Amino acid sequence: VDPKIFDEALKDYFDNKQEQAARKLYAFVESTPPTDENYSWAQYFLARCLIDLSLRHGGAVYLAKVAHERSNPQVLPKTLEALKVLTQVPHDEVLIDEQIFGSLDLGFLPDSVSDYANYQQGIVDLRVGNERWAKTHFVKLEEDGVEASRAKFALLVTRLRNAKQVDDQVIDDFLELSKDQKLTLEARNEARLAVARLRYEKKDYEGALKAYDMVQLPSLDPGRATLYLEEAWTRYNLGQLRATIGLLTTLDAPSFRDEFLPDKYILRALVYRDLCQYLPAKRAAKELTRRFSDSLEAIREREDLTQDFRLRRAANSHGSTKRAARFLDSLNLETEQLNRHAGGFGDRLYKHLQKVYDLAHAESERIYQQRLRDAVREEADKLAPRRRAGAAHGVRGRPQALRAREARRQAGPAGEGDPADLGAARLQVHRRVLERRAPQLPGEHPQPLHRGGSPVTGPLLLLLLAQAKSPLLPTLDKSVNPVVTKQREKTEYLEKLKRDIFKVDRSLLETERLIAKSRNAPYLPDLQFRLAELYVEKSRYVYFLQVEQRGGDNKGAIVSPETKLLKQKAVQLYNRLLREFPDFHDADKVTFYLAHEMRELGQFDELLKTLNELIAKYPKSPLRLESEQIIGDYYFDKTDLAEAEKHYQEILKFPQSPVHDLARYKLGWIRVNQTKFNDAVTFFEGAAGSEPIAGVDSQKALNVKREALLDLVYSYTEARPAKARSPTSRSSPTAGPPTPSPWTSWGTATSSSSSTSGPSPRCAS
Amino acid sequence: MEIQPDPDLDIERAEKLYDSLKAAKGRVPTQQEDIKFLVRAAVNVKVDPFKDDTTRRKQLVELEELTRDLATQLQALAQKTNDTKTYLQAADAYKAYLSLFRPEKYVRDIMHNRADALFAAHAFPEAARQFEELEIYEIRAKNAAGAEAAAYGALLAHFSALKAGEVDKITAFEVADARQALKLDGRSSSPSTRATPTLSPSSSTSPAPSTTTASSSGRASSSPPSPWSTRRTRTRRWEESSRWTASAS
Repeated sequence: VDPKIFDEALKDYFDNKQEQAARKLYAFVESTPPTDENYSWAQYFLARCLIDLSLRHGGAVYLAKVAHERSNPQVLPKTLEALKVLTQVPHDEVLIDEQIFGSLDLGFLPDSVSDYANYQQGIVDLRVGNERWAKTHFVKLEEDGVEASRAKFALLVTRLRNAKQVDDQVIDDFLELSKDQKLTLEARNEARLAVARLRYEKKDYEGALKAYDMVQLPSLDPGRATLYLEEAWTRYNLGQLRATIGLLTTLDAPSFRDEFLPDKYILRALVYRDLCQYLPAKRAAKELTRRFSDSLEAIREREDLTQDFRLRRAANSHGSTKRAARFLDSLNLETEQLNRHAGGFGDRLYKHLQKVYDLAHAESERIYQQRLRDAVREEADKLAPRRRAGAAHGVRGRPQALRAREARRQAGPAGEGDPADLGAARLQVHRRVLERRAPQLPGEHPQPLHRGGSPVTGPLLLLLLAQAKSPLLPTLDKSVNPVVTKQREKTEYLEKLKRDIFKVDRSLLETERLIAKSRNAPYLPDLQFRLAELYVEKSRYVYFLQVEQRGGDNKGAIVSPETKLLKQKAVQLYNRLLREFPDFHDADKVTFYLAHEMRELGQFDELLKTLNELIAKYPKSPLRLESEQIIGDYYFDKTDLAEAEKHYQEILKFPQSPVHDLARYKLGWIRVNQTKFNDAVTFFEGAAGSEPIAGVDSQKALNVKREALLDLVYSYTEARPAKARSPTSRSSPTAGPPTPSPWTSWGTATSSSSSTSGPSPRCAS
Repeated sequence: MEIQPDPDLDIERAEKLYDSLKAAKGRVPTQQEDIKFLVRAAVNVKVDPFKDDTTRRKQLVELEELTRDLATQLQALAQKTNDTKTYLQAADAYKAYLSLFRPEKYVRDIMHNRADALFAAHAFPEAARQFEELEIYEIRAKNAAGAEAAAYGALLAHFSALKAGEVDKITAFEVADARQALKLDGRSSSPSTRATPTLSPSSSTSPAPSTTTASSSGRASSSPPSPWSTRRTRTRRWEESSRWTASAS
C-alpha cells in the first residue's frame, strides 16, 4: 500500500467522507508495521471514522488498541478523551472501564482525563476491597472536580455497605453530598434518596419525607415509580393513609403501567384494611394476583422465568442487567448500521468489523443471559407467596436479606460485581430498605390502626367525599344541549380511545407471551410482524388521545415523545424481522411498512433507502408501484421534477393499477410546471378518463379523477386558444391571476383523496 | 491479576499462576479467584478480534484444561477438609468454568461435581437447579441412567431445602419453587409411577476422576481424590428421600 494513502484518508476524513477514509485507514493499518510513525494516528482516525458512522463499539476497539499499545504519546490523550466520551453511552465496561481506565499506567495526562482515570482506578480498588489503595488514587483528584465528588459518593457507599450499623454521620455526609452542585442531578438525587432510605431505616419517617421532598426531577420527567412507592410506605408509617392512597393512585398513571411494583397492591390492601374497608382491601390484594397472573403461573409451573415478559422487563429495568441489556441492544443496532456500510467499507474492513461485532455480541449475550437468570429470580422473589410458604414464613425476618448481606460480607465488595457504581449502589440501598420493610407487610404494622382521631373518621370522610360528588353533577338534559352533546361526544371518543389503547396493550402482552413461547415456531416471524403492527396501532391511538386531551385553544401539530418511542419500537421490530428472517413471505410488506414509519418519524433519507431496497429486492411485489409513487412524490415535493418524473414514468411501464391515475395526474402537474400544457392535458385526460380496474373497489381505492378533471380545465385553457374570449378578459402572463401552485393543488388532492376518496397508501396496500 | 487486568498479559499470567499452584504441591491451596482469573483470561482470548481462529482455539483449549484442573482440585480440597466454605468456593469455581466452557466431553461431569459441591455445602436450591440442568444434558446425551440420577438428585435437593432448619435460610421464591418441584417432578418420579431407580450404592461406581483433570497436558500428573465419591453420599440421602416420597404418597 502506498504510504500516501494515509494522507488521502485524512483528507477524506476531514471532507466528511468517513466511509472512504475508514477503508483507506484500515488498508494502511493492515499493511504498515506498528513502528510506523503514523500507525497509531491511523488507528485513532479509523476509530473516529467508525464512531462518526455510529459504529461506536468498533471505534472503541481501535481506541482501546491505541491505549494499550501507547506507542505514540501524542495520540494517547486524544484517545482517552474519546474513550471517556464513549463511557456516557452503553459501552463495553470490561474493555473501557476495567482494562483501560481502571488498570493501565497512563502516565502524565491532561487534568480532565487524568481525573477520570484516577477515579476509575480507585473504583477498581474499591471493588476488590482495597479502600486504602482507592484513597491513594482519589487524593490525586482535583478537589473542585466532578470526579472528586463522585469518589466521595463511592467511598460513602462502600462505608455504608461495610458498616454494621448506620450512624448519623453517614447520613449527614450523604446530605452534604446531595448539595454538591458539581455532581450531576442524578447523582445528587441518589444521595438524597440514600438519606431518605437511611432515615427510614432508623424510623425517622418525618426526616425521610423531607429527604424525599428534596429529590428534584428534571422538567418533563414523568416521575419515578420507586420514589413514589417509597414515599407512600413512609406516609403509611406516619399514618397518613389518604396521602398514601393518593400516591398509590399516582402509580396507576399510564406512564407507570410498565413498572414492576407488586408492593403497590399490598400497600393499598393494607391501607384499606386500616380504614376498615375490607372488601376494597380484598380486591386490592386480588388485583395483585390478577395483574401478575402470568408470572405467578410461570413460577407455579416452574417455567423458564427468563421467558416471562413481566419478570424479564423488571429484571432489565435496573442494575447490571439493565446495562448489559442496553449494551446488547446498542450492539444490535450497530450491527444493522454496519450492514448499511457494507459497500462503502469494502470487503476486507467489512469482514473484519463483522468479526468484531460477532465476537462482542456473543460475549455480551453471554453476560446478559447470566445476569438475567439471577435477576429474574430476584424479581420472582418479590412475587412469591410468603404467608403460605411455611408455618412461620410470613412473620419471620426475610432470610434472603440476611443471607444476601452475609454473602456480601463473605464475598467482599468484589462479589457485588460493581459496588461503587452509582446505579448499583442505589439498587443495593433500595433493596435493603424494601426488604427491611417487607417483614411488616403481613400484619406486623406497629402503629395503631387509626391514629389521632376517632376510628370512623377516615371512612366517614371518604364516604362524605364520595357523596359530595353527586350533588355537583349537572341536572340539565344533556341530550338536547348541543354544547353538552359535543362535550359528551368528545368524552365518549376519549373513552373509546382509552379502551382501544387498553385492548392494544392486552394484545401486545399476549403477542409477546406467544413469541416467548414460540422460539422456534415457523410462525414466529408472523407473530413479530403482528407485534410491530400493534405498536404502530398503539402509537396512533396514543397520538389521537394526546391531541384530544390538550386544551381546545391549541391547534397544530403536537410533540408526542410516547408516540415516537412506540414507532421507534416498531421500526426496531421491523428491522429485526428483516434481519433474522430474510425469507419471510411478507418481507416486502415489512419493508414497505418500515418505510412508512420512517416517513412518520421524519427520517426521509432512511425512507428513500428503504423504498429503493424494496424496489431492488422485490421487483414483482405489488407494493413496488406504490414505492415508486412515494419516491416520486418525495422528489416532487422537493421540486426535483426530473427525478420525480423518472419514478412516475416507471409506474406507467407496468400494467394498469390504482396507482397509475395518480402518477398521470402528477406527471400532468410536472408538465404544467414545465409550461408544456399540451402534454399536461394528455396526462390529465388519461387520469380522468381511465377505465375502472377489474377487482379493485373504486370506493376504497385512491381516486384522483375529480382533481384531474378540475386541473384539466386549467391546462386546457392554457393549451388551446380561446375562441370567444374578449381581449380584455384574457389574462396577461404577468398581471393575470397567479398560476395555481401545483404544491397547493397536490396538498388538496392528497388530503381530499386520503380523507374522502380512500385510505392512505399504506392501508390501500 | 486482580488489580491490573490486562488482556495482553492475562493469558501468560494465568499460565504462570497455574504453574505456581502446581509447583506449590498443595501447600498453597487453590482459591476460587484463581479460576476466575483463568476464565477472565479465556474471555479475553475469546473476544479478541485481532487473534486468528487457530490461535484462539488453541489457547482456549489450553485454558479450559487448566481451569478444569484447578476447579477439580478445589473440590478435592473441600472433600478433604469437609469445609462448607471451601465447598461453596469449589461450586463458584465450577460456575465460573461453566459460564464460559461447555465441552461436550466434560460438561456433565463438571455439572455433577458442582451439584455435589453445592449439596455438600447445604446450598440446596442452587444444587437442585444444577441437577435439573444436568438432567437436561443427560437427556440430550441419551444417558437415561444419568438423567434419572440427576432428576432424583434435584428432587432430593428440593426436599432437603424444605427441611426444618434449612427452610429458614432460603428465599420465599426458593421455598415456593422447591414445593412446586416436589409436586410437579415428584409426581412423575414417585416410585408408584416410575420404575425402580437405578441409583444405588452398588450402581454408583464413579467414572475415573482423571476425566476432569488435565493429565493430557502433563501439568496435572497426580489425580485428585474423586469428587464422584459424593455420589455415594447422595445415594444414601436419596434413600431417605424415597422413604419420604413413599410416606407422602
